[in-house]
Formats: sequence, C-alpha cells, structure tokens
Amino acid sequence: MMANGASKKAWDILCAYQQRRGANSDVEDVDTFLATPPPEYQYMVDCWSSLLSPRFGDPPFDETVSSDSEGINQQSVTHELVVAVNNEGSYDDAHINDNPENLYDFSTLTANHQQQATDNIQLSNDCVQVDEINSSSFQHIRHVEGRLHGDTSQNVVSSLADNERELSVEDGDFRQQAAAPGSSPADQNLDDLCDTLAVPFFDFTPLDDELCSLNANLAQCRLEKSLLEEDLQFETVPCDEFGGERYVMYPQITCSQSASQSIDETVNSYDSSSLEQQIVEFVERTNAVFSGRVHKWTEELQNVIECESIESGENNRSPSISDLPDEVLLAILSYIPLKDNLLVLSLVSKRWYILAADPSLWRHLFLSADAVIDPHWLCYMVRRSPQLKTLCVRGGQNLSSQSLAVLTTYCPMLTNIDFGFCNVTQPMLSSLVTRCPNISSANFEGCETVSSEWIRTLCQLQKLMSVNISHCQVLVDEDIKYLSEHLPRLVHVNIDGNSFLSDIIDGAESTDKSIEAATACPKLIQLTISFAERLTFLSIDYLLKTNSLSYLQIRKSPILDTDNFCRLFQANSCMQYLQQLDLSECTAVVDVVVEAISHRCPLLVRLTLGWCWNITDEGVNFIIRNCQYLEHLDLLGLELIDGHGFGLLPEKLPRLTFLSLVQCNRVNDDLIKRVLDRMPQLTAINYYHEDFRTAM
Amino acid sequence: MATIAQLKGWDSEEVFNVDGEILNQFSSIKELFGNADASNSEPLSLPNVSAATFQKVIEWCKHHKDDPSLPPLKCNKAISEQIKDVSDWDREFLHVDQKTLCELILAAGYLGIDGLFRLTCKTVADMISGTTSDENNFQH
Repeated sequence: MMANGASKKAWDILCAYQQRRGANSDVEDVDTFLATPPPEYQYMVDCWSSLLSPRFGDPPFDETVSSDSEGINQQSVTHELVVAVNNEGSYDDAHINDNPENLYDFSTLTANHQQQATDNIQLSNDCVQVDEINSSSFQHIRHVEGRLHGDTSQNVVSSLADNERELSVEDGDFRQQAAAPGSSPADQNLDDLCDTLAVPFFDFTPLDDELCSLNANLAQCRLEKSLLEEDLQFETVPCDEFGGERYVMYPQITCSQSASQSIDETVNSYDSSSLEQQIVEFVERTNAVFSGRVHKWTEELQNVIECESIESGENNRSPSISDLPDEVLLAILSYIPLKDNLLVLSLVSKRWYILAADPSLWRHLFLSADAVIDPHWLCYMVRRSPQLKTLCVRGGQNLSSQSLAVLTTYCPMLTNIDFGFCNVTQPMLSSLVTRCPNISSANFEGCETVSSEWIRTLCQLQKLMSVNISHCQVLVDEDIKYLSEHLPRLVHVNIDGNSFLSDIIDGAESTDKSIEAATACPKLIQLTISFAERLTFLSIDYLLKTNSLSYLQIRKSPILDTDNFCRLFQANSCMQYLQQLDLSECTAVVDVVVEAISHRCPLLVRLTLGWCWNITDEGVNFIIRNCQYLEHLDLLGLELIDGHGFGLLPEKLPRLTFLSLVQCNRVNDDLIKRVLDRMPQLTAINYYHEDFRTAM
Repeated sequence: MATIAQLKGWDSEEVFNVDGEILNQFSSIKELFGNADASNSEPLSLPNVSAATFQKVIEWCKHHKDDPSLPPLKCNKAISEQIKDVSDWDREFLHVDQKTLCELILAAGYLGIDGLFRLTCKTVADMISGTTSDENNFQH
C-alpha cells in the first residue's frame, strides 16, 4: 500500500516538474526557476491538490479563476480536516498542541499559511484526528517536527501514505523534508510550494534537466528507501500505478510486474552496450545522492550484461516501438497529424496515455465559434497544455473574462492568438498582455470594443510582429499611428475595412493619414487595403517611404489616377521587393502602369489585376516579358485582351501555375489549350470559371 | 573523397570507411574527427548502432548527401505540414520490419541525423495513425 502511494507520489512530482519545465523552457536551471516562479504558480498554489494530479478530469475546480487565493482554498479543500493550532494567530513557530478548544479547520491553516509562511509546526500526537486526516496541506509546511509515536503515529503515517504524502515515523524525521533554511517567510509562498515540490524527493541540482524521467526513478528509489525496509530489493516493488508496468530505469529498461520476468530477462532483451552506457550515466548522476544502492544494483546489472555478451545473446524478442525511449516516442507522436489519433493511442497503455498527454504535443487550440467557453471546462482543457502556442477562439462571442483568465494563466507561452470577432474588452486585453508577453501574432478582427486605450494596451506586447485589427469599427488614425510608433517589430498590419469606417469619423483625408501612420513602420512588409475608396495621391507619397514592402493590396480605388500609379512604380521607387501585388478594381491601372510595374517589380510572384478593364494585350505582354518569377496571374474581367501574347508563356513565365481568365471573353481558347499542353503544371480558368482542362 | 573516419557497429568487426560528406551528416559525432586522413587510426566503435543498421544509415546518407540542410521545425505550425511527402526512394528504403525501423530511429537519433530521424519518426507515425488501439496493442 505504501509503495503504491509512494510511486504515485513520485509520479505526481514528476508531472508537476514537467509542467513547470514545459511552461518555462527558458529557465536554465531549477535554482533560477525556484527563485522566480512563473505567474501560473500562484494559481497552482491555489489549486494545489488538483494540479498535482496527472489525471485529466478528476480534480475539483471552483468558481474563482482570478487570483483570489483564499477563496479557492476555502472552497476547494473540503475535507473535514482538523488540526489544533494555538490561538496566538501567528503561524511562525506555531505549536499545534492538544488543546481541544483550538481546533482549526485545516483549510484555514492552508489559506493562512499562504499569508504567513510557517516555518515550524510542532505536531503532538494527541491533537491529530487520525481517522480524518488528509495530509495534502502538509506540503505547504516548510518544517514539520513530528512527535508521532505509538499506535497513533502508525495510523497517521499509513493514512498519510494513503494520501500520497510522505511523513516518517521516527521522531524528528520530518526535518528531512524541510526546505532549505533561512528563507524569509511571508513573501515566499511560491518558493514554499516549489520547495515542497522539489525537496522531499528530488535533488535537482546535480541532475541534468533532460533526465527528468531518471529523476522520477531516483525519486522512486529514495522514496522506497525512506518508506520501505532497508534491505528492500529494488526490482521487487510492485507498482500498480503504471498499470502493471514500471520503469526501473530510463530509458532502456522496462520491467514487467509479472513475477516470471525478472530483471535479468529484461536486460537480456536490450542492446547491452547501450544499457551499460546508460547505467554509467545513471551512476554518475545519482552517485552523490544514492551511491551505495545503485552501485550494488549496477554491478548486478553489469554482471548480467557481461554474461549476455559472452553468450552473444540471442534476443528473445525484437525491439518494438514500445521499447523506444520516451523522447523518440514523443517525436513520433508529434508527427501524427490528427489529435484524434493521439486520443486513440492514449488507450493503448498507461505509458502511451501519459505520452499522448505530454504538453509538447498539445500546442494548438481551436475553439469553434459556437462552443460554450465555460471557464471550468476550459480549465480542464488547458491545464494539460501549458505549452500552448496557438489559440483560436474565432467568433467566440461568449468568451468571458473568466475564461480568458484561465487561458492566460495556464498558457503563458502563447505566441499566436486569434480572437477574431470576439469582444475582447480592455481589462481582458490587459490580463492577456501581462500574462502572455510572448505573443507575436494577434488577430482582433472585428473586435467591437477597440478603443484608443485598448490600442495602447495592445502596444505593450513588444514582440508583436503581426496584427490584424481589420473591421474594428471605432479605430481612428491616431491609433494606427500609435501602433506603428510603439511596436518596433511589426511587419504585418491588416487594417482592412477601417478606411471606410474612419471616413465616417474623420472625413476623406483621414485615410491618407492612416496610410501615413501605417507606413511609418520601417519594416512593413505587407499592407492590405481592401477598400481604398478615399485614398488620394498623398497615400502614394507615404507608400513610397516604405522600403521593404513585399505585399501590397490596394483595391477599389476610384480616386487614384494613372499618374499616381505610375509614380508609385516609377524607376526609383521602393517597390522593387514586391512579391505580391493586388490592384483589383483600380480602373486607373492601364497599360502604362502595368509597364511600370513589370519594369519595377521583377520579383513579382502573384499579380492580381482583376477588373482593371483598361488593360490591353500590350500591358499583359509587358508582364509576360519581364516578370519571370510569376506563379499566379489573375486577369479577371479584362475584356480588351485577346491573349495573343500567351503563346510566349512557356518560355517567359516557366513557373506560372495559375492563370485566371474569367470573363475575358476575347481570349482564344485554342491558344490557351496549346499553352496548357506545353505547361503541365499550369492551371488555367476559363471565362465560365471552369478549369480549362476539365472543360475540354 | 578521402576517408576521414573509420567506424564500426557494436556487434561486428566490420569497419566502415566514412568520407567527409557523410560524416558531416552525423552531427553528434562529426566533431570527433578532424580533417586529417584517419584511415590508419583505430576504428571507432559506435556503442548504440549495429553493423547492419549502420550499413542502412550510410546508404541513406549517401543518397541524401546533397539535400539542403533542414530548416528547424517551427512550433507554431503543425509539424505534419512541415514534412514534405516521403519520396519513393525513401519509402522503398524504409520498407523494413519494425525491428529495423526502431533501430534506425535510435541510430539516427544517436548519430544526430536530423533528416533520417524525422523521416523514420514520420514513418512510424504513419504506421500508428490509422490503426485502432487494439491493433496498436498487438503491434507493441
């Protein structure tokens, strides 16, 4: 019974440790981590017992998702746990005596403990209500001196072991679990937690972070050592928690619980030299902590290996996928495309269940628009994915601030967020900005709560590279200006739909100002303006100030005239890096403009000139002759062209894969067919929006 | 190209002469060898790789020696999207039993051959996906 609790404990700790590691991969070593615990551990303190469980759905989660820690403790610790505490009110050096008048609910002790770190608590046996004890909150106590003895102490210990906490029978043995001394109380509740996590079984510092699985075994060794008989045989400890399998040593040995398979047989089935190496590593790394036992054990194993080498071991079974180390299995799992398959795999065995739940595999979360984003439900979901990178809550109208708080608390590593058509309010954004500073790409399309203050908050995300605030109705030019001035890394801006809206606010010229503001971003690469109805020649001036634009879209611009466009693409303009250009529905784009484009933008890959119906074959020929890298050419609705230059396509535009001739009624189909015969990779669309090949 | 490293598997005395082009793909051990001609020195035994597996690894490396170096996987993109389709040659190459495949994975991981490691992992992933848990149990 003890051993079960013990291994469960070891596993709990490993889970927590991996979660911490996963959530904080920047952290170099454990010491640094302990010194500055990440924000989500405040919450972990609050939900201590629930977080330590490796299972997905079981622990309680209560209403409060904000940082109201006391409230959580009062509600979530529901056990009738009674410990006597003296009524001085201070928990520093609190003496828990046997005065029955001073019974405190244990949850209160926990809650208060977070305000006043308890350095010493003395338990005397009479006061502990053995039958009702649940020791979960013992983890918070930095230093417990136990004077448990006799029948009571036995009961206490076994009940504690049942509850997967470690206490020891001997007088003063609790001291062993005490955290590093000398830390100042009161401020270090988080450190308390981390210490209680790390110290009882783990000695992280001499160990390599990468070998945390090894740590688990080490922890198990130490655990077994502390809880079981001194002469315990390492390999005989049953371990039901792993469903009949246990992992004596990472990564090469897997011992079955079945009595018939001794450790020797297991060793026989493995590559001996690699095993030897693993053992040497194991010994080296754990020598300081656990030297004697491992040495002895290793010698036995090495003897076995030598015997096996001499006999030039016939392997009893060939290595199968399950024998691969966990890292490799995780790498394999990361290639499995659908997460559904992961869920299937998790049914295979406990080990696969644990692997499939690894946070490194769960990095993208897409919530459908009509999903009910309940904070409780979300909490279950994101707690197992602390490494979440991508979050899409597109259209989630019912996203509440509580849900967002859960998300941001558990997923501090978010880099890509999509809150399109969600109403992200100012306080919600603030919490997002504070807790997830790594966000590099944000989509707040159609967010109706955008305000100047909102934009200023958004600009605190200094790593932001791409932002989409299109169709945010109340956005004004100053906001965009502010955005461009305060986000040094910004390269993608999408302010679609805003020009139309800012017209209403500021009048016709404001859009030029918007462009001015947007182009103040020196690294701007992509600029998309779908409704350029109010852009004037001033915009062209501003556009000319950019210097690395590679994607430009100016659609529906009735005001810009041919001269403006010519100026945009004049010989010394900065458009030479353009790779994608969309000038749909700009009727001022005529052959002269197209000629300028073809000379100025030799790198063009995508060119869309839909409904620029003043373009004739002459203009198209310029493109065919000069834009040799073109892959996508859209000539939708060019009524004047008959396509006599298309015969040169195979020679001049060898990379072309898409050609749209929808509503080009004068184009000769036979000519296109001949071109298609020579360009097998090309897809051409005919007048009726059909593929030429299938229409043939 | 001149031999610059002599390697052998753990289970056999057969010595493989490895030239620089192939050695460069062994990112974990290439630093061990300088540019000098090492054909006279003692062959190095690879503790985790059997001779048969190493033979396969070298075969793969020869075929892929001109591949461009792989871009690092981006975490914000689904990995499965970033792996191009497996070429016919690779598919034929990896048409082996599970034991060999596992050994190839371990060898690729040990020698630090990123391309082969990704390829084999993807192959196993393809084997796994599309089966039910019972079938997986059987395979394992």
